[in-house]
Amino acid sequence: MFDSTPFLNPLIDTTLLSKIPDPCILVIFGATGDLTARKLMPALYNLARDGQLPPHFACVAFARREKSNEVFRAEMFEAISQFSRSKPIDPELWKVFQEQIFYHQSEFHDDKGYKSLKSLLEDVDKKFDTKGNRAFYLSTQPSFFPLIVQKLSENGLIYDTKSGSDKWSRIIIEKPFGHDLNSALMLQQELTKYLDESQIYRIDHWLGKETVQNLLIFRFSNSIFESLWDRHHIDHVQITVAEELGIGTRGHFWEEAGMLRDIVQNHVMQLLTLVAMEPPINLTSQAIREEKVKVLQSIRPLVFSDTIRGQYGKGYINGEAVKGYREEDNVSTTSSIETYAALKLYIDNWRWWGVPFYIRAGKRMPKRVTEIAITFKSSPGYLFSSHNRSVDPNVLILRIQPDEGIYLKNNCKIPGLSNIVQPVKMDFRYSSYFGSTPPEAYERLICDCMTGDNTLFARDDEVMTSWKLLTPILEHWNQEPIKFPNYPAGSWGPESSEELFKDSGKYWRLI
Amino acid sequence: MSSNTSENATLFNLISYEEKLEGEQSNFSTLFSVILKKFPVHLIKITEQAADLKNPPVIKKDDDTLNLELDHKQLSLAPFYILPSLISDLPIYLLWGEDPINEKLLFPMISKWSKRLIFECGLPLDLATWGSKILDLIKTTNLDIVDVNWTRTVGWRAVLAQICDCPNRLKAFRGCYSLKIYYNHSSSITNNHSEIQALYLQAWLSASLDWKCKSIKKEEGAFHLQYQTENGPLVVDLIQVVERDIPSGEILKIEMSCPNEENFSMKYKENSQVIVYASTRELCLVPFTLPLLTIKKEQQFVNELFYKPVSSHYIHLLQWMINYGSL
Repeated sequence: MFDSTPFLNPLIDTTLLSKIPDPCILVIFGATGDLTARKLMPALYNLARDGQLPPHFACVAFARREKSNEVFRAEMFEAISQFSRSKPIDPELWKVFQEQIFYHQSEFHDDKGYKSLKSLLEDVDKKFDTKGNRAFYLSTQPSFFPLIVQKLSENGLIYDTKSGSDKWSRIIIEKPFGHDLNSALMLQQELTKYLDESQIYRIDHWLGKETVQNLLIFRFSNSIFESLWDRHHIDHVQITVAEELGIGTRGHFWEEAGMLRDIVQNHVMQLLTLVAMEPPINLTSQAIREEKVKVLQSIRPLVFSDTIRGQYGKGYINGEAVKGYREEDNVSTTSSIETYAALKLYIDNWRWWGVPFYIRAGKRMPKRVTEIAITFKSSPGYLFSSHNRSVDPNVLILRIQPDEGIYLKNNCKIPGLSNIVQPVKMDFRYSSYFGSTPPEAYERLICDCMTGDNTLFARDDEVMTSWKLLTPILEHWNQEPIKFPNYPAGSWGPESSEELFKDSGKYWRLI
Repeated sequence: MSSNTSENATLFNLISYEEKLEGEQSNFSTLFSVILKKFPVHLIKITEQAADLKNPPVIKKDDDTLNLELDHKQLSLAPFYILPSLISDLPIYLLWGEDPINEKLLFPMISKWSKRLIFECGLPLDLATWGSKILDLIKTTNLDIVDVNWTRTVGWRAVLAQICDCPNRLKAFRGCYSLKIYYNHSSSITNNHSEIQALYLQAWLSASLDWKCKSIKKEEGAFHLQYQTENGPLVVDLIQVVERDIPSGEILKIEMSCPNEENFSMKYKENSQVIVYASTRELCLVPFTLPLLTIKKEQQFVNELFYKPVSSHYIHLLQWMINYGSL
């Protein structure tokens, strides 16, 4: 008879600062790809280095190319040497860590490959005492997700959550979760044939960033800001996600995606929900995710005239000439894909009624910056009108990257005999206070998945609601192409984006 | 030492206190260096000179640091130097290199302003009374109390917790009949009481696993403790070894013999790891390695000192001292 009483270990100190994940095997599908080399393996190494990997752990790489364990380990050594946040690699640690990495060759559709995977995992279980727990990271094209999940299920590698077993199995999938509402719903349907929602971990790696996690702490542990965080005090909010880089070698991918799908639907919507959500009743993942979904459900359906799209032409980045999007590799010379998207949206609830949220995301912008700028309502200007034309409103800037920190723009008297007012900046910078390199987002997220904490992963209704909001825009843009390119690389996007502020007296922040 | 340049900001005020002793660098001074390396602090360093100076206190000041050298009689002047130097609105933490209970002049005054006390001292003669006073300090003040010797055992506690990961293992641990803890001993004047971490560790195990202590005997180079477990008698030996390249007091090896020939051996490896050998009557597990949190993992270690609340496990340790410290 299976005893389902949870084991309470009296030696575990519940005040430990870090969670200790469960023993498990992490299987990475598509492990010979870029993500594993640049992010996943360095993350695992650093978790091991910081003592954050579970005591009994192994990693199995599942990919199509022929390779031995030794060859793959050597490749991962090179990758970690290049991409790890901590260098150089500790040779003693590496000696132990590499013994926990295995390579399994198979095609994604091959049943024999899954049978032999199962056998390998059982051997690894015995060797490393990983207790049968499995996390499957699907670092593949999204089109493979349903197939892989089906094969895992058919070969007994995914456990039924209703069986009462103390072993767990979880699937981690990367964005994009579909490319529009219909495809997202279909993907969800395919996955839930074999999985319970609790087993699905949708990674949006921005949620693993320290500065994004700090949004909740900042809002809900500082009462002065929370009491001003509403339509009575805030004039508008701007969310900017700007990248200097172009699309690089990702022409194939970008031609199917575009800015709205790649950045706005996921990363930007996550930032928006964290900025706009109500305080949760507690810090459980359910409570937090519940509040985030409510924000998305409260967004007024978008009006086409409140959306702007753009595509970069040739221009200059840091003084160097760069080509336009249509001249990039693997991009059609008549492509109508957007590399810039801007929206004005409204959240129809008590807190935000009438407050515009301006969102812009673009490639080939003058600089790389992600920030949330909360502009407060101006003070009545009559006291200083004889000295200045107007007094600048206060702006609270939450800088996500780079130069992570929080800044408050406020007004100050210039020393001297007059009452001239000058805006100044009060700032807190992470690097000044906490110098040490924080964990990378993937370290936190992988660790959370192994612990079973899905707070920082997107829930199914979050994903569907944001697709529901944006899919009509995608369809409209698809049906009504406009003349591209319409902004030079190195500028802040098309001039038409200023139309979002028409007659309001507001404008895009010059960052 | 981090400096408060335009790139660095100050996280907190740190008031450190230590008696000046001649001899090799102590564990406390190593800890002090690591803390300053990891946190940008405003430092107020108080050093009590061994002899009466008959001179005014020595005061050295720069942007980040106030250095006071005082003799014992001058300690009462220290607050008058400290108060103007504190940076307002930032937490005040105390880093105490001596027994806070016995220092009656300075500690009572400045502890009132402080949020956290981090102390490191040798083993007191009267464990029971000392344990009781520390517990009292926890209950009656707003201070978060951090015993560095306790924090130094965090790595081994995590290792043992990870090995004891199922009901069968817990049963084995509870019924243990022989426990040997080997610790490093250096005979330098600043490194006496090197058995303290080993003593803490076995006390924590006893409190967590319901072992009842019957006697404590100290001999040259070893402690012997007799316990009664649910299975019968348990003998705990704390054994000195000498390893020159490792700080004094660090635990090097743990051996546990449990019923049904279930045995565990945990040995310190270089680079903060522990290799674990586990066997039963029927089989030998493949040895496996676990990470060991030590002061070498500087950021993690100082995070344990500065950000962790007082744990119930430490309270249990103090209770052990109160219950058995007179044995």
